[in-house]
Amino acid sequence: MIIETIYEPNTFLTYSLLLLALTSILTSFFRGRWASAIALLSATIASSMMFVVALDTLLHNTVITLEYRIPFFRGVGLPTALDRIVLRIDPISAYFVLVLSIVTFTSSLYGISYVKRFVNREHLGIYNINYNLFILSMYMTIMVYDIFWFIVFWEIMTLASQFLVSFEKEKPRAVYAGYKYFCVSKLGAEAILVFAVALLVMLAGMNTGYDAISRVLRRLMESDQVMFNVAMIPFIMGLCIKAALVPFHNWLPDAHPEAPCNVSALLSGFMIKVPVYMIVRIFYTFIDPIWYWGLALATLGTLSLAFGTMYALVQTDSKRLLAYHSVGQIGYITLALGSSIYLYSLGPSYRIYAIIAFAASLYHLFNHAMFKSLLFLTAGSVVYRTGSRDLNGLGGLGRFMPITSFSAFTASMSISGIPPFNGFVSKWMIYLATIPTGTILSIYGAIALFISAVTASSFVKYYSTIFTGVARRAYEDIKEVPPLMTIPQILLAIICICSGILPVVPLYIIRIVGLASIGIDLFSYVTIYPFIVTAGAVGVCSPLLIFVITYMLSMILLAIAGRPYVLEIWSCGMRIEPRLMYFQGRSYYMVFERIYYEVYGLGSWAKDVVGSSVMKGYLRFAEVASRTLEEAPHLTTLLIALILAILGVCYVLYGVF
Amino acid sequence: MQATSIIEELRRFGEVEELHDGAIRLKTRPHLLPEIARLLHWRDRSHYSTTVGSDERFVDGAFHVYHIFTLDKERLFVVVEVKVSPGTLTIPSITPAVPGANWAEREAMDMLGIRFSGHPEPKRLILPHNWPEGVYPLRKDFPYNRKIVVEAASEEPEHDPELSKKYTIIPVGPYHPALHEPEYFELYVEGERVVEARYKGFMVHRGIEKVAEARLTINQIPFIAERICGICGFTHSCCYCQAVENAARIDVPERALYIRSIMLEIERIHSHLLWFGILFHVLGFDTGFMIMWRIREKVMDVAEMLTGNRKMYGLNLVGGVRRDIREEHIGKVIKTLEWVEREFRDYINRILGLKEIIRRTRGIGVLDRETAKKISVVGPTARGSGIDTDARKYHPYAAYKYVDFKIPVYDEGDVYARALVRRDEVFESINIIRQLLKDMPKTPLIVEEFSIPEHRLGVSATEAPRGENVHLVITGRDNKVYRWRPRAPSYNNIPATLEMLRGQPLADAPAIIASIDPCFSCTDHVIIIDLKSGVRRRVSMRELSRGVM
Amino acid sequence: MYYMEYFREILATPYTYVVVNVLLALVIAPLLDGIERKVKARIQNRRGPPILQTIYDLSKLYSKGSMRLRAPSTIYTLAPYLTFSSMVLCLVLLPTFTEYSLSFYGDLIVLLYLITSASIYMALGGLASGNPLASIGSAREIMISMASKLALALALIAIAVSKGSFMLTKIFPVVDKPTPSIILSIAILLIIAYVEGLRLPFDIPEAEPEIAGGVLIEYGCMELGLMLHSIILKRFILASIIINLVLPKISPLYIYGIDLVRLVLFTLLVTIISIIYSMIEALSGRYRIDMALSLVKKVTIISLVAAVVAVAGY
Repeated sequence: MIIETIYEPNTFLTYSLLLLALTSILTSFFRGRWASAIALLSATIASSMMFVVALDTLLHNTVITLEYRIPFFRGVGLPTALDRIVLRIDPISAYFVLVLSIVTFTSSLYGISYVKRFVNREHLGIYNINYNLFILSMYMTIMVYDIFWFIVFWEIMTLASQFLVSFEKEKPRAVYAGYKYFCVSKLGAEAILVFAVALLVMLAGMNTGYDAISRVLRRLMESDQVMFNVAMIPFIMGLCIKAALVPFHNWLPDAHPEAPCNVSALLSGFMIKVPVYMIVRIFYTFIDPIWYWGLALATLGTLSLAFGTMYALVQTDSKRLLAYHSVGQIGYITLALGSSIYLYSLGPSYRIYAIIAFAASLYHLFNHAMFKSLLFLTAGSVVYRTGSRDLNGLGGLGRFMPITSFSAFTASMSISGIPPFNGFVSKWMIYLATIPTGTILSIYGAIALFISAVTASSFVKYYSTIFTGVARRAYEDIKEVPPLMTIPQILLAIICICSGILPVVPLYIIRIVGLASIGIDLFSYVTIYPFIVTAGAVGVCSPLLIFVITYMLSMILLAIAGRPYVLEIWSCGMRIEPRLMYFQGRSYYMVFERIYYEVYGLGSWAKDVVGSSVMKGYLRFAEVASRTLEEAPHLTTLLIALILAILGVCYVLYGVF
Repeated sequence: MQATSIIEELRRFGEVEELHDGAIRLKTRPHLLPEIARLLHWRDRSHYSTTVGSDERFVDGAFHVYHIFTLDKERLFVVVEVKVSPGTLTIPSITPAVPGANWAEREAMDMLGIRFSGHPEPKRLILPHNWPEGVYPLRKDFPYNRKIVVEAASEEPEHDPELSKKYTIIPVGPYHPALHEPEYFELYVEGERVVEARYKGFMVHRGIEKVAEARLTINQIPFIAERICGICGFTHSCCYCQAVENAARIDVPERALYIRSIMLEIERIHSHLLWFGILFHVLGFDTGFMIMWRIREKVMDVAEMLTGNRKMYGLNLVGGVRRDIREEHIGKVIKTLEWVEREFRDYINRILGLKEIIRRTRGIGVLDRETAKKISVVGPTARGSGIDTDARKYHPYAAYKYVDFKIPVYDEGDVYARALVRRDEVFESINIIRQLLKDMPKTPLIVEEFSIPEHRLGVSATEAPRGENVHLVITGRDNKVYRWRPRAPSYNNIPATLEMLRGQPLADAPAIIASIDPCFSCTDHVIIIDLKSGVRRRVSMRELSRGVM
Repeated sequence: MYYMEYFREILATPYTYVVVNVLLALVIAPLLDGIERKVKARIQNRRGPPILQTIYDLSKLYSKGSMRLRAPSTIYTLAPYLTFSSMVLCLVLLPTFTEYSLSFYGDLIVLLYLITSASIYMALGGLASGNPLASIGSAREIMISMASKLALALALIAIAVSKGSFMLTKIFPVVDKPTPSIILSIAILLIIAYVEGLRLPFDIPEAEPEIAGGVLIEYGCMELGLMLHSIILKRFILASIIINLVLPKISPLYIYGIDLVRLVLFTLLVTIISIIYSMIEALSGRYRIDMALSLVKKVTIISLVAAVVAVAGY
């Protein structure tokens, strides 16, 4: 395969980035709804442009490299890449950009109506600047080809998202979540990460391009294993904290639910996957897969999927439940990625599993981005109409919000891995890649299989408490949300169904990524049926056919069932309003929580130990820091400028002396 | 004597007179009631029994209220009588002092319109919410055949507004597989845990009191009384007859007393076996259910042999019994009881040793001694909570003074303890029957020459399988009773289930409800109204499904 | 090349015999239930219903037509049909009376999926009905199925790892090469088959005296028939997994392509398992949900050990 490299500036890309940056700054001065509409609309447009760019890159097997020179620094003779930003869209980053563009497109479109909630309540200027900056920084984090700029945009991304998390200032929980997020993410993850990156940069002799880093790491791996791991451990750990892998997850369930819903969709839908991007980069382009890192990642992934989902099971706040599921699902992705790294390093006989695991990881990443942002958007629609996230109180909305209900159903089925929705295909591929290996991964696969049942149970609760049953009195005159909110939902639901029915389309793209990173052709190892993927070509029928027959059979039975009797609910002969007999969210799995107390006790134990000593001090500091920040609406801009300036000055001074 | 000391103590509240053997009456003034109640209920080994209201305006122009207390140590019933003037119709409530009086006072409120000031929840207990105000069915000026037309019940049952907001309501009843009679438990549930429970009962209603007072003669009532309950009917008819006999000072022949005791104990054995069956069924252990009922079948055969009926023996009349036990039957009875004892001992010890049964009953539905005393529970429920009370021993009636038996008492207060009490009682009952059958005196069966003086009060208690069963009778003229009030043991025990249910797993709720052996129809008997139509019904002779099974 | 193989595979597993399997199972599973009822009745000193009683019950329910709730709910309506179809498709994947089945790579996982989804559909139906007792039953159903699923998955995967294959037909039978992990796994499967079959100590989701039928409370007529039939089929399927594992392949005797020896042995074994299970059932009281879950938790830990042993190569 020939990869063509284009050095000429891609104007499409430049314009979309410029659009985001400009609207971000311009709309920050206005607090009206129209300013937000403009900001969000431009984010939508920019996203669609990015989508085209990414798809174009992938389909044509090209690599776009852009260089923006910063005139101010030109000629200083820096040893680092500080005077220019190098953007490089190779298949790996293009894939992530593709996923990101779909998420940002739908979230931004959705946001146009959704911000109506905040008009006259909050300063929308803060929202505008941070939202667009957040999107911009996510794009840049993925596209830059330079570890220094990666860290800079990473910082901006975290900062902007932190302001979005605590955007609803009047809610103390939101502010608290913001602090916590700030502490863990900023002072925890990023400190570690910056340290690791600084180490790497030093080792690389101030050359921060990815190629240079790759060379350094490879050299280190051969010469000095200890030093290599000293650099790698903080690096991976920083990424894991950001990816919210158990046991580093505790900031996520607080932070994600508190953001406005379309921002939650971005946070859970994509931001936690940026570290996954970096892990792919490290192990498939910087260095070759190392078995112990693969195993470590797979173990972390299994822990996250088990604990994250088990915790999600007992949540009674709709968005908090979804946030815990993000921990669980990122666990699935990491399990698959770790497995692929581990299996690849085991030798050629395991290559087939390695490539399936790799594809499964990327596929599940795509699927998770789709269904999780869809779930957050539907949760947002419910919040938009009812103002409630309480699974103990909601109920019976399916009749009043049919489109939202349908979208939520699709997303729930997808995340539960029920065929023919997309979650099934990627989970199926994870099972295929792990269970048959006969290694410890078989047990991980079995746990993943079990957790799939737990996920389904959790979403039985999520869906049935919100949408089925009898409406409570307060929600009887609820209407469907406006079209600008339903269109993104329908769009994502269609993607969920399509990528479940036709896995060949996403897999075709993933194959290109695989070729560019691992260098193995996925299609030479697997057979893709219209509905499903199998390893090799064994057997007489597609597994999904079984499910299709199941559905058809039930429809046939239903059709011959004939005219029904119609009956009322039986309440032991006593006249009781059905709404009073409503089964609340917290009641579902209470006993399960009590019996599996080891699982749930572990969390509170850790919380006690960590929370009492370390976190409190941390939070106190952050609270003081953030209170001053939050008062000035434009301080965000200033602060970012300040950070950039300080960083710049440091480097300039370093260059001069 | 201890009895004299309490009588001396009571004299300072008013006039004390002996009613009959083992019962005294204290006529007092209303404002002293709470103090007297506190004194009598919170003594060692005594409890509040019931409250009876009576319309005696045609006798002395006033309503009367009788509070009955059972004093086990002194072997005495104390009937505290107050006059309620028809003008104010208000007396102080004793419920704040004795929580167990809650229902009985509300019943008097519903039925007679007597108001109890200071009652914590002066709501309707028995009458439906759409019953017209100011119509009191047990007043003497309310003809028994008057039709009350009420609108069909349109409201929903009252829910606790706070609880129903926070918790899910799970209805248990009126039609629920765990309940064999229509009663309604409203459980407020969180997860699988019952947070709080409410009870709405009194849905079975046959107007027995009113009919007995208005239409039936003294010797017809035993047959109605027997139909109060499908399981323990004999104890009701016995209790009624004893109350009349006490009031009229009739000496019943010894042989009749023996026969009454024998039948009462046979009834107890069958009732306990039935209860064990139901408990095991509720716990999902149907094999145990089948075994228990198989054994019970033999007991029913014995009853049929001795009386001609499996249930509803129809044996009692005022003054004695109608049918003798034939000599040739005695051997058969003893043989059968031996078999029953052997089989029962064999199986019950094994079943109660099963791990699942123990895990599902031990520590479940705990009723501690304090609460039990507060609610004044009776019978095995009280004995399972460490309260030593038994009318057979402490207020001997029929032939119990001639026999020797033990009273099993367990302190744990859980379902398992109540089961153990009943297990031991079955053996004790078999023992008692053996003793009684051995030396039955040869006397006539019944005295028929007696006259019943007008307006005399009689109180009697029997130890029904479920606990102390109290009847109060005021004799009337023309061979009738002026007032008859049966109080079944479940009347006192059902409020305890609400305490037991609190905080328990939902799965255990049926076992807890079953553990007091609730007899809802006994409890509800005094009711007069058909809930749905509001029309008085004819006295139903219908067997309860539980009894005839 | 590929297509040739494909067609050969099709010929090797004639669909007709799969259909025969399914039809036989649909009739014989209720018959087994009838036998179980008879056995239980005998233990309880009852005469018991005739052996055909379950078939009579089901045909009566099926003949009564369909029913709906007044409050419209698609999920409530669909649930019994989906549950039943899932169970039927499980029968397609498993060799039962004849040794034929639809077999493909990963059918083991599909089987697990189908068993799980049947429980989930059943529970969804109960939840969608809006009846609080049904909701409690559904939550219990999900909890039990969820908890036992890990043990089931680990046990089956331990066997699969030991046998080195992930096609059901290649896993069966395992008696020829018993390793410690396989023996342990079969023991676990015997327990889980009992638990998942919602037999008496574990019939907590229905628990008639407690929650009046639970999941099934709002179903009647044909829908109730389908649900009951599904539960009976599930018991049959779980028993057949175990039988397939232990039934050795001994000198086949083919008549019209059906191995008579297998047919007889299979029927015998499934009846024996049913009788043993029903005897246990008759002698036990109902568990509370927490008791059941803590038991399943213990089994899960053992099955985790089995899986680790299997991965270690024993």
